[in-house]
Amino acid sequence: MDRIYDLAKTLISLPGVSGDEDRALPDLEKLFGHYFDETGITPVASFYGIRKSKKEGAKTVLLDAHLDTIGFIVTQICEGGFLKVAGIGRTSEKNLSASEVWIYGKKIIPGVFASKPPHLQEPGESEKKMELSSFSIDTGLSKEALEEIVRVGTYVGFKSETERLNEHVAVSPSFDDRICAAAHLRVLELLGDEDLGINIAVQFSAREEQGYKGAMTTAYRLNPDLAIVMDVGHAYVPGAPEKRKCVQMGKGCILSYAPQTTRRFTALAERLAEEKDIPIQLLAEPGRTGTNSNAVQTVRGGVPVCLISVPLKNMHTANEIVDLRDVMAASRLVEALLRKIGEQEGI
Amino acid sequence: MLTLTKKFTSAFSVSGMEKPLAEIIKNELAPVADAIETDPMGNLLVLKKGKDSSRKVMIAAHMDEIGFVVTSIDGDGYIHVSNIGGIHAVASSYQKVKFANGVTGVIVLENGTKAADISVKKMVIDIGAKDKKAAEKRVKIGDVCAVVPMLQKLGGSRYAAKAFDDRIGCVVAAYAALHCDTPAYDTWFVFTVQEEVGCRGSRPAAFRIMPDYGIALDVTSAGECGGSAVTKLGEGAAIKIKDSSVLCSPMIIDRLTELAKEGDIPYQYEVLTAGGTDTSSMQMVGAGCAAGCISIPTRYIHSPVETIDMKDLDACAKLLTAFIEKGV
Amino acid sequence: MEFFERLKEYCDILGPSGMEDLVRERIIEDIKDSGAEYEVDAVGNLVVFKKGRQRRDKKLLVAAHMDEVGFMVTYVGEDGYLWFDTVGGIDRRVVSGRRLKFCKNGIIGVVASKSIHIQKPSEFGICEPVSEMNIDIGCYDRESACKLAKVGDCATFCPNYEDFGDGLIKSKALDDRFGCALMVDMINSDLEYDTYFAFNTCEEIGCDGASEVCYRIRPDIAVILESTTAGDVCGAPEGRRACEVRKGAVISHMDGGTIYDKELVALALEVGKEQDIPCQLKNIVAGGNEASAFQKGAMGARVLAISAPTRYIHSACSVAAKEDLISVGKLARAIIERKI
Repeated sequence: MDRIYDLAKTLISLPGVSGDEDRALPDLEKLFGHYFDETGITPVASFYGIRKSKKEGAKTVLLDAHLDTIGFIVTQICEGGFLKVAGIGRTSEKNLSASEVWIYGKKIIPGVFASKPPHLQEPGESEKKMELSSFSIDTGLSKEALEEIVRVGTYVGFKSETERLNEHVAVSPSFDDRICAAAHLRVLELLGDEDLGINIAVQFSAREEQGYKGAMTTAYRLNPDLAIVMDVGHAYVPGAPEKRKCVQMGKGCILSYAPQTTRRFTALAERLAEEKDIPIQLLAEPGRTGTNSNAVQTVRGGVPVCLISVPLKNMHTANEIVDLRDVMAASRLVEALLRKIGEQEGI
Repeated sequence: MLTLTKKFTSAFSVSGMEKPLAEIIKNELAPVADAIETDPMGNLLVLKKGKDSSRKVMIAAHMDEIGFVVTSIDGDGYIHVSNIGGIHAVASSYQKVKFANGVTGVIVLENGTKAADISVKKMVIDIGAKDKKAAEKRVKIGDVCAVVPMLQKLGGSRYAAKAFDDRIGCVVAAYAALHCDTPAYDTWFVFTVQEEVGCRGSRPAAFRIMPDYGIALDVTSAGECGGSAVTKLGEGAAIKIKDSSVLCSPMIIDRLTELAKEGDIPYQYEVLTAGGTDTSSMQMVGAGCAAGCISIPTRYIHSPVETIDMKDLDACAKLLTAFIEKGV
Repeated sequence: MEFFERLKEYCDILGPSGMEDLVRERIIEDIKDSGAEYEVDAVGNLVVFKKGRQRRDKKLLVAAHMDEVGFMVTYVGEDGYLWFDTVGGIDRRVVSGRRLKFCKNGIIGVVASKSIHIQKPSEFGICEPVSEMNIDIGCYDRESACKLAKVGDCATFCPNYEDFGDGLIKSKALDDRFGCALMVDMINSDLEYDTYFAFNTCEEIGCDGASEVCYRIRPDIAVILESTTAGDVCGAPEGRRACEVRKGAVISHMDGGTIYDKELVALALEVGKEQDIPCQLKNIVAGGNEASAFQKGAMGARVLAISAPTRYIHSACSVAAKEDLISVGKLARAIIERKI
């Protein structure tokens, strides 16, 4: 559990707002390149690595997690050193006042979302709807100094620590989806040098929050036979509709039955979970899954996909919360699937 | 450039019916092309071979414009329509429209439509037919029309017209194709179809080419009264950072910036929170490509009086030419 | 110890109103070798008397408050979430989605918020009142939550002091640890005249500490060192900014609780001018501070407030300029060195 947390913490320390993933790529290679026989980056800013099997004609199983995080993009540099921004992926505006950000300009500098002082507020203003366009980010720099560092189009991400609330629950920005990248890496660590008779390809794909472009293009290049996509899913919180109780914190990883995943693959995962006593929670997603699953599934002539998710609270905020036990369950399930696929040469 | 603009804006080219414009562009570029292809969807692909044929560049501008399609004709001879692409209902009301077959009419709102309720559903076309029968002789269900206003000079170097979106993109691409030196890489100038209905044409075109680099040319919202657009009219070529369909590849953004600085070409950045472009299709094709977009600042997009500044057009053409000639 | 190092350490201490103990202990530690006399009263206020080279006919007291705004647990829910209320006035919008740190055991909690994906469109951008928020400490039932937190436990925003932008700092609790840090520096230096220093409790809930101190010490003159809201944010109209960061020490002539002593205000402006210390007058009438408690407490005192212009006060990230803090320090020092 500590290892997965540490991996996630390392991954989260790398930047990578959608569109700006290039910043993370050199470090990914440096930190995790040695996990693979071959690594590469793609024109759409995704990182991939392949572990090759010695077996002739071995099938390739792809593990996907997306690299990008949500954030903001600068639209205007204002007098007094304030920035106006637009959203990259939608966050909850109500959480922004007096929150902290990193601004990824020529240098990386801190910023604070300005809050309106009480004497400038209209009566009852705190109850009113807030729009992102009415916010500005204070940088503490003069406009001139700021213009040296930032331009229209500079990316901005949440600035917050990765911390533990207690032994098994952790909070951080960007658990979506770095926690899943950590889970995949943990699987590779657990496998060590073992050859399962399959090639294992891992992709940390870009632009998930903006139309799954990294996943579809990287998967096209890797041309896998099967793919396991990992993402985060909403855990029930008070106030959410009753039916959301199907996914709860601490009760295991999520396994999705959906047209955008492959049923027999999911069923295999469900059976394995039962056999190996891995806690899972079933989720039905009759429409879109909102993950890379469809992008990977429809690559080239089609790829069977299994979608495994980690329950998470406060998605797309600086305080995404996961239960590390759920993450471990996901890792174990992925590992079990890989072994099974190796044994029976398919699903 | 103005000559090309006049020529291109005069053609009828609603999504799905881009052939007339494709013919005009084809004739224009034939003298400089190493190959010309038309694909099954109607995309026009024009190749200029480069010094280095191991890499491919795709330049994309869309030929289609928004318009209306006839859905029914009522007893009184009024023609009811649905939209093709994102119609700006307020701006398109009480305009002259023209069908592909030359029939002209006026598009109006149902009597008593309140300002807040204006939408395509409330729009009908009157072609001067006294009843259904008379109307059906000239127009049938499925026929397509667009508003009429053609090129109109405003002050200075500014012009208004319908469908500058994206004829001026085509103009910039064609102009670059006609005037550039030998490209750095094999360069495909692609005039795409059906962008306005969801970037449908550029996908197969991009798949056919599998480019290493992609540059789209399209319009972007610019400095309207009371607007909040990042980009301003008359302040140069807009290098796209994002729109709602794409986050451009930083490598292309940086290269275009560098080229603009080197060539002393006025430039600005574009961050668009709405709208999609062919850039997206190129970025996600195959194993992906480094894609960006040069946007032409335009006011009142999707209205009959889209307004541009020829100086911006000039800057865009220069920037595109520089990219084509110098590569990455 | 360098002033800003001290300030960082003070800001990072957790000390909401009514739980100022850690702040006070640290201050005592820092002044105990200064030769000043000090006393902690029955409710926790710390009053220090520092002898100067000369006696002063009138009693002059400099005051700052030790407490900061914070949060208190009011109920532990069955599902392990903590219900809470604010300690002191905090805009609900700077509470939503923040991380809090509990004073008792240092655990972290997150002010729970429904993520955008499960909000109804009518809820977008709308911040619920604090009474409907709760704190997530990663527990799923009451039993395990109670092991970590119980009713009455307090928390504050997480410590986050940092240099920021060009010569600014950013932290929780600049209001009013900055005043405390300034006073500690003064106490540790040689003074011309006898001076009292009061480190008060419970300012944020109504200046209770100041009233108690005023009753006991009966100062003739009270000089308040505070942080005050700077309204120089993006788009704020010039005449409505109250005061601005980087424009110097703020001298109040009138606020929501006090009409300040005209002569003292004039004196402060004059001293500022004489010694070339940047000063500004607050350009709106709003807010308030301990001056009101001293002015009307016991037999009354003449009051002056010198404040540091601070953006986003009472939030997790208040922002102030180092140069302004230095100006406040210089001005306060110059004034207490006067006979008055």
